[in-house]
Amino acid sequence: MKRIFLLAAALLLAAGTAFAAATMQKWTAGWDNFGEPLNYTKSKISWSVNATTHKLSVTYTLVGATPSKLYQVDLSIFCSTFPSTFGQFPVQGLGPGNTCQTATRQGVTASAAYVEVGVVTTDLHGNGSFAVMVGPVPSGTYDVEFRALDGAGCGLTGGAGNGSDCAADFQSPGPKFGDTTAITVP
Amino acid sequence: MKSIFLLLGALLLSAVTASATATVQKWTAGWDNFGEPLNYTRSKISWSVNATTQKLSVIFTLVGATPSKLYQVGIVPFCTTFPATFGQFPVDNGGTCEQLTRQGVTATAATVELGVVTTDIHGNGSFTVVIGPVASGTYHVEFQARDGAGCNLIGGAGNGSDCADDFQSPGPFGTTTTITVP
Repeated sequence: MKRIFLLAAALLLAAGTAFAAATMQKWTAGWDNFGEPLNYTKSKISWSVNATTHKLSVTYTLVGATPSKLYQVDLSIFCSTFPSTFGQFPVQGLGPGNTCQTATRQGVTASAAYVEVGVVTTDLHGNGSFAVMVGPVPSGTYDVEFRALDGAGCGLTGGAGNGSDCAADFQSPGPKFGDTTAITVP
Repeated sequence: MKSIFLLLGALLLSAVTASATATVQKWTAGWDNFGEPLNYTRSKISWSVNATTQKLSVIFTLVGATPSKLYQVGIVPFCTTFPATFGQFPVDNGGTCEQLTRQGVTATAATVELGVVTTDIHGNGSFTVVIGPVASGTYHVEFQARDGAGCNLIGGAGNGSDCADDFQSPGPFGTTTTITVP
């Protein structure tokens, strides 16, 4: 019996090492639109990094947004240059030499690249979530904001295209453009 | 110690009873478009019903589809009448079962738009949704993936060519899967 408990403890320890506890953070409004409805108390982003697989897991949750609406979700990575891919996803907004795109929002000027990872579809109540696993991601520290856009199709085929749906309804952490979360992949 | 094992056993049994084993089924082409790329061997839909919560869980998986593309996914109950909602989701056109003719088959069906599969650089992607509680009953359904996102939803391509059906399951049109919610 003692051996079983020791084995269970070892397995638990190994799992704990590989899977860091998820970090939860709240949405804030903007950085383009500031009037989109959302229950900011109940809505969140939850993310974690698996140190063994180098995979980043993210769950985007919206509560009390516009019912039956598509919100494309992404990672905005603040950078000067960036690779063309992030895990299995292409990186949008890169210029010549993979330079990151400069933008000014909320009085802040910064350069960033964008990784479009999926879509949150809301139900009758304006609630919805989307979970994605990105990776393997190269080792490094990434300064990111999570975003939910005002529609679906920005930089992707099959949606509304590159128009007003590219505007950011919600950002995290915010509250200002360029306020980032550091994600470290060992 | 014996009590702990008995308790664990009872909890496990209860969990197994409530969550039925997932049913896995394959996609087929169409019923509108038949040329969209897909690895039909590796792509699938996995679904199960939790008898206790009356919730239907569905995982839509596409492998080898068009890279960086949105595929809106939904469930299509074949019906004569249908409620305006299915779990927490509205049914298109207020639950009207509309007559359609596809692949030489005429049938009446409603559609529930559930979400979007976004593909990566390899054309792979998946989307998981939990629907419910769903009213008790037996539902004869097809799963579908449309040629874009925004059909009967806000914020996408609208009600144009993106509404066309790229992939169906089980198919062909009108060949259904029976989902029973106790």
